Amino acid sequence: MMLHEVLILTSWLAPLASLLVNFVAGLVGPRRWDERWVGWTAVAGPALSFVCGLVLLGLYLRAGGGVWHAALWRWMTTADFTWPLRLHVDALTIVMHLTVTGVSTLIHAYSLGYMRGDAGYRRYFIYLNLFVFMMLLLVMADHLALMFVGWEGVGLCSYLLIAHWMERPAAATAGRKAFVVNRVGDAGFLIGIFLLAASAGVIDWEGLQTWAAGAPAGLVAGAALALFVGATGKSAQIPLYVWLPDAMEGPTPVSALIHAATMVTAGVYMVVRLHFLYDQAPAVQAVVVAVGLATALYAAVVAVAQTEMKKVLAFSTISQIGYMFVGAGLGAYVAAIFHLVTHAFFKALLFLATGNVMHATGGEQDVWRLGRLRTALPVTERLFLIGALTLAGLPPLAAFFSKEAILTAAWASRPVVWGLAWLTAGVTAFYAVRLWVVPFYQDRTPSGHPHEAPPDMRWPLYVLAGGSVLGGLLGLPGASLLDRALHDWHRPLTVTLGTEVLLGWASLTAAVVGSGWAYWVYLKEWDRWRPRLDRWVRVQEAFQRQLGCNELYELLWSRPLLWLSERVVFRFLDVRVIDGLLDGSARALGGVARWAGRVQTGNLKVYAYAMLLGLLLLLAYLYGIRGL
Amino acid sequence: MSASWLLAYVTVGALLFGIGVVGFLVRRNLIVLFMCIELMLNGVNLTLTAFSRYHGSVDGQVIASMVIVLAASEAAVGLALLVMIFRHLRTLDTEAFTRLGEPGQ
Amino acid sequence: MTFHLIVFVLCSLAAVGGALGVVLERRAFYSGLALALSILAVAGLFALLGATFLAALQVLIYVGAVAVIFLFVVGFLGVYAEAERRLRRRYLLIGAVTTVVALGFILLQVRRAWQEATPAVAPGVTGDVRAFAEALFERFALPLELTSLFFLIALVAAVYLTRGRRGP
Repeated sequence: MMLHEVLILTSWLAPLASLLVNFVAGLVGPRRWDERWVGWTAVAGPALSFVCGLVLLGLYLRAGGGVWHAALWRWMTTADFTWPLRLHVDALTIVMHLTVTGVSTLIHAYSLGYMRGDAGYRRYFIYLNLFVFMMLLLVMADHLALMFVGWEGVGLCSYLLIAHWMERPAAATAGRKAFVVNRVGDAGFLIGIFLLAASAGVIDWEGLQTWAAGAPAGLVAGAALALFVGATGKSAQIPLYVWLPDAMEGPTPVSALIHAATMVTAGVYMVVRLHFLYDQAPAVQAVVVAVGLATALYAAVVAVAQTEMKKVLAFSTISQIGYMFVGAGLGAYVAAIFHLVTHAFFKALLFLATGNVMHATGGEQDVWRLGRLRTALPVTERLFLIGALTLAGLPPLAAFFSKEAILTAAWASRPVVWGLAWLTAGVTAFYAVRLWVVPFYQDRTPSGHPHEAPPDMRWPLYVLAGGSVLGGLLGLPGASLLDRALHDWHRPLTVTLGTEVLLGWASLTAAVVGSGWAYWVYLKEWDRWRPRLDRWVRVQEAFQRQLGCNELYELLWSRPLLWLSERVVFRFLDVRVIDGLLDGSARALGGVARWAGRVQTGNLKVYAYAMLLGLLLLLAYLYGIRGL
Repeated sequence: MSASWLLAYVTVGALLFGIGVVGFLVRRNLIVLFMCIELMLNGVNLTLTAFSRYHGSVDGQVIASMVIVLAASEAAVGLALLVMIFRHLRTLDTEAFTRLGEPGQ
Repeated sequence: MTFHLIVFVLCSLAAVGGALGVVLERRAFYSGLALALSILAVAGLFALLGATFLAALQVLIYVGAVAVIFLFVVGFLGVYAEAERRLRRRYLLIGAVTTVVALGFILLQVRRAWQEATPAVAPGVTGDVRAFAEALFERFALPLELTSLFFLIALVAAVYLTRGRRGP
């Protein structure tokens, strides 16, 4: 086995190993296998995986590209196909792998402090490790079926972790909602797999790429669209975004994990990984762009009206993922993945900083009940500021460059796309700064005695802040791994340098105006703006309620389904038909038994007589039939 | 031994067996029922021995000896059970033993 | 031959008469006595058939042990004078009918054997205890062991069942 194969397998299996160690130790382990041991074991897996990924990156750069495989065994074999359990490693995989494991390691380390004393400590870390393992399977899979295992795996883990505090009804409901909504998307994903497996006969990346080059356009488009339905579920896009805002019921590090590293990016990754399908289907690409753009704008606007910090961040994630889909749909795969990476840094930073706020205030995260946190949480405030400004897209922070890459691609295809994306960028800057100003600066005294988080809940944030500041370097043209790796896939831009600079200034303007206005409204002139805003309270509430999307879904889907299950399936099918059949057969048997039971009189003579009768029958048999 | 002799012995055995059966069916005293079983076994033993003599083979006698052993075992266990039943119910009338019957019969 | 016939008739009458006595006598104690008579008569028939060893077993075990235990239990329980009020005529009829049918089958078998079987070559050999023992311990060794095991189990069971209840 070659060195790189060893590294690939180690980096994939390391989180599984920590999971198993903690699981077995929990079952049969020594008594002193307490929180400290559980926590550090859980951190060790992703950390080891990350280190392996770094070594792998070095080897890969020295080898100068290409594709590596690591096959374990045959997974499914039929007459028509053999699906191996095989991992696929190229530049895209390495980038995703490093992002996932790097951010996950930091979130694991942060969880050590955040979850301290929680009753489900061990369970939490086992699920967390499983989450990373499944996400790694998703990004390293060699074919669609294996990817689907990871795809379902992260869905399952999100359900388990969102409902971590399952004794709270809201958490259990949110977990269920995430699970069910994901199922809807997964159905689409499965249909896509079936379409491809039936028509192409192969489902691994190389085979599909060869097939897609000469396949009928309609078939490719259908498969691409079905797969994209799966992506809207997993990546929380319109129309299947509704689970993500509710997912805030989980522990905050889980939200960080879901939003930054392990789950919602899966859809974007899938589209980039299967770019050859989407390149062949311009209509589907248009759908991807439209959905991404609509989601980005809608979620950004809704985010402005949210009052809970985590809800704002949730909608910001939905909006940013929309950006990534815009990039992927336009063929700007480098830009999409670049934004995915930078987003992982600053979104994890924002969530963990929010976690520190909640840690300090005893779980309070309503911006209108917080205030003047700057004095109590000076370090967290600085870190949050870095995250918020990165989200706002101010240079030289990372997201400016990645967002700028997507906007440039948009301008190159259709200016109207650029216009809407630019507008979204302005709104994003507005709510990002609002989220920083209101809880940390507005003159309001929060309840309790807020206190700064302990050191072990601070240092992961420093690393993430560093990533948010310096992440832009990853996208330097020509120098970046991404550029080199995805070079062949990249659609060449028809934009001159002058236009690009102009677009950069435009983005800067949007960011500055948006954040500056938020600063103006919520801090400098708050006394003047407050009554004005109060006049629009109904509009605010409508936006806060997501413009009735949940209610619409309930009316369209939940109510009819409930009616169907209650009236048709339960009352008729279950009670009448199935129970009726079972009860009926039981009653029939009982009747037969009661009738036959009359033989059992308990009278010895009757039994003796029956024996005699049996003897007679036996004799008759021997004499008559056997002819003895 | 001629066949007519065989017929005579076997008839006696069959009569013993038949009387045992009828007795088992008509009597109500549990001890007498056991006696009737012994009668049936005796009838069988006699038949076995008669055939053994007729065929000039000793096998029938061997089996008859085993039947005697089994009859002794059966009497031992059966009488033990009988004593227990009598202790509980203070009677040996089989008409009183109806606890195993379906209720209402 | 005449002696044989006379003994056979006497023994048969005693056996069948004793059997009828068991069934018809309403006092259990006298039923037991009738049973002993019947068993003794059957032992005589065994002896007449040349199965002397079996006849000895019959007297020792059946009359000496089984019938005596019956009488003992009747006396022990104090039910020897208890008369049954009435016989079950319903069972008498169907029992008699089925018995006759069964006996008919058996006699048919006997007739067939009568027609087919060859007479014994050496009639005297059946009374030989040596031949009996050889058959018992060689060809019938396994059934013999099983029978003795069965007997042991019955022994333990009888002791267990009749032992006094200890404790409350």
